[in-house]
Amino acid sequence: MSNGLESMRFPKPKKPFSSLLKLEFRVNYSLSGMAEKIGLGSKNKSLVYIYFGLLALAFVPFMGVLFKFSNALSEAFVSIGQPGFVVVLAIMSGQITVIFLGFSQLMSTLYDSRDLKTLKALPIRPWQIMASKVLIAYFTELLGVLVIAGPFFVTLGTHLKSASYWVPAVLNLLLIPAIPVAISVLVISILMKFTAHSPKRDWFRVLSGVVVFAFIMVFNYLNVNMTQYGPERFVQLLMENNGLVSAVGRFYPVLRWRAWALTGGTLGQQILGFLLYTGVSVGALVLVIWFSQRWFFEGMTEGTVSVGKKERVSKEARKGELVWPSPKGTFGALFLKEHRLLVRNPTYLMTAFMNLMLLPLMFIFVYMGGGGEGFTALRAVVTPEILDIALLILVAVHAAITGMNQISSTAVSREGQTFWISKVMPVSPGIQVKAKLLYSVAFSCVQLVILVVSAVLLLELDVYRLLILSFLGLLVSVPVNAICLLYDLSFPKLEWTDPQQAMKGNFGTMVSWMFSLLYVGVMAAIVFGLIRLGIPYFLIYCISGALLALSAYGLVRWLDSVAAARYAEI
Amino acid sequence: MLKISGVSKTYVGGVKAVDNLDLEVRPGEIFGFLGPNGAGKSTTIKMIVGILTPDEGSIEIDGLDVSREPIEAKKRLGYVPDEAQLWDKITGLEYLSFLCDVYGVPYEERSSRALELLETFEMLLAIKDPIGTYSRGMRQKIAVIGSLMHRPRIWILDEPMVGLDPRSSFLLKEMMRSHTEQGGSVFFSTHVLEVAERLCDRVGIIHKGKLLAVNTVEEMKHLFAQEGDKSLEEIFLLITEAQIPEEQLASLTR
Repeated sequence: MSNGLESMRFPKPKKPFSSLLKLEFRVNYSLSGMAEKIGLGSKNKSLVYIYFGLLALAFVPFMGVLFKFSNALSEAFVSIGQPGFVVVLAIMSGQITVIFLGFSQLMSTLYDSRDLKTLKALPIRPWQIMASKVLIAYFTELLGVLVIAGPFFVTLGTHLKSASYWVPAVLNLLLIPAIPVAISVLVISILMKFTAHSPKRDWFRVLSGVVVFAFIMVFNYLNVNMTQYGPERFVQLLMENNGLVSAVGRFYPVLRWRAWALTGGTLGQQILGFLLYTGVSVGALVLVIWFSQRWFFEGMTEGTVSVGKKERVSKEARKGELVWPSPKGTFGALFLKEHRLLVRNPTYLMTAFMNLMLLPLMFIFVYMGGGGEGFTALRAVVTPEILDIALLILVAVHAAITGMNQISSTAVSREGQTFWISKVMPVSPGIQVKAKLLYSVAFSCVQLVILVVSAVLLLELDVYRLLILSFLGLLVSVPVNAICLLYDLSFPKLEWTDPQQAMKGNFGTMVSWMFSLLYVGVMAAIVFGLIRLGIPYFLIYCISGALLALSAYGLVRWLDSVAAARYAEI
Repeated sequence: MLKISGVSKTYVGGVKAVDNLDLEVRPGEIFGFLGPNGAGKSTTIKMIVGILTPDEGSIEIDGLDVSREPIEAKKRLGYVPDEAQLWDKITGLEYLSFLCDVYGVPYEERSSRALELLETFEMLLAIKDPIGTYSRGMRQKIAVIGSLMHRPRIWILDEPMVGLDPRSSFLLKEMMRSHTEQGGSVFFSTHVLEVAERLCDRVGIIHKGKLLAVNTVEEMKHLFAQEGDKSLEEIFLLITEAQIPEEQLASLTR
């Protein structure tokens, strides 16, 4: 009897590692895998092309600005005989991107992936499992690096006009994530080895991410800080060919080697630079995977929770009582649930924390780069009108960062396979999404506080403008979060095996951010029109406030009706 | 107490998971819903509790239409899914507290009710641990406890014995019996036909989306008596493998 098996064609046999790597790539980057990531469902593969086409279009303005900026930078540095410094800046920005966006992703990939236990039971070597996960994370980080650092390499190449530049440049670009990924893997493996059995292991994870990020920031600053040399030495460096490059990388010579490989004065210097940075980058990654594999698997063992809690519960039980949390009411319970699900997952918490830190870090960079003096000079010449314009720009910046923080844009996706609880509980979908919206707005308020404090310190805003900034910032948080939540409700990504996939691996966050930017753009255009018409700023604030409030009301009503429909369909 | 009328559900691709289903669960009754894999049991249960929406027909819980009055209907039922996915980072206590808040369980009742259930299922020591640290059986237990905190009128269970140790399984069956003795109803699906045979007042057998038989176990055995003394398992296999004439099949529905 034919059962069809003789006609089934199996793929050609592969070695275990190759097969595993192919499987991981297929899960993450096949068409159906991508469709799942986006939230389209694996059956709508053809929509992926349309989706990415639209995404690419949305990124065109951003890439346009980045190319212009890098082109101007390349032209300037090439003309003063410092082309290598462009390479340094490109590598730094790429590596910061990897750590900023990739550390939590790598942590989640290594320790939260639900297939790890299945893989561990198979006859595959630990380093192979680890390497396959690390390579997938590496590939994902590379995509981000290509976007951020790619324009620098391309524009530099066009100005250098050297045929021998391009191949080493491509290799240089491909190896940017190597050392940050290696550092991340090492830190994560050591961390998990020593904290796996601690009840506070999740907090350790978050703390480690913050520490690593801070370390990278300070490290990069120390390596490129030119102010340490004084003006005379600085001028001297400028007079030498690639003099700035020879001054950077005091603690991290890889920066210098990379710059030499592409812009070194002699062929020998270029070859030496190439061999050194390639060797160090690849070697670091290989060595870290090899040495940390044992810690990695030891750290995978889930620890038991501390005995202390059990003793406490026993005592309560013996007394016949159980200390029960105070009642919160439905809305309060939902709000608290949102909060707990965010802050108790280290992946989500770290992502949220990094998003909160984005603005303060930008200001710190500017300050550390000598911008502090610039702000002092600026404050001396600023007029009330400039302050009013600055205030409106800050509101727009707050709106942009709100759309980017991934809290509202993943509020439904993060529920994942537990979404059935939301469907079964006797609470209307409208109330549930309003609780999610309120939580997202509360998170935005934390960002707003950071923004307001920064504005007060850097621009010395008066109380009146401080209040206006706070009020408009709060108002704009509502429609922006509502837009992101609407998108996530319409295209939730509930099927994930790794919490990271719900947040950072969720392309829906990018799309919802684009929609929120569209809204911000429209509002900004209206405000700009009002300014051009010469409307007094007080009236502009009132009109903007009214528009924000009206759009917030309309979007919340829309959210309500979409929630009722979507909760039935999901 | 639970009334399903003409309910159908078709999935994408034209697969009819449930086809014109009619059945009723009476107060004080344990109703066993049996069927092979892919028969439509879980789909039916998901429609009852509101996870899926029927394409046709209506479902009433205590006279409340699930699609028109979902909130009130949901308050009357307690649901335990098969392989309950719960929030890993929330403790058992926080989970129960959350459910009490959304179901409106009076505060003064919560502690005593929880203690009673936690002691019954030997979950007291683990209650302050994150659910992510629970074994599969413990997750099932906390899901069961969570479904009972608000004293639902009707208890909907999808393969409830899976993952439970023998003692917990026994206790669950005792609880089901005691729940119906107090006037409540239980509607549960299972593959373990011996349990259904011993526990259920009536059973329904569904196959390829169609309800083939609904009756008490005794009555079914009586109707097959001329073919020898048959267990529920044997009757189930005869019905689902289409080995009985349609007239005999029709007589199995009551």
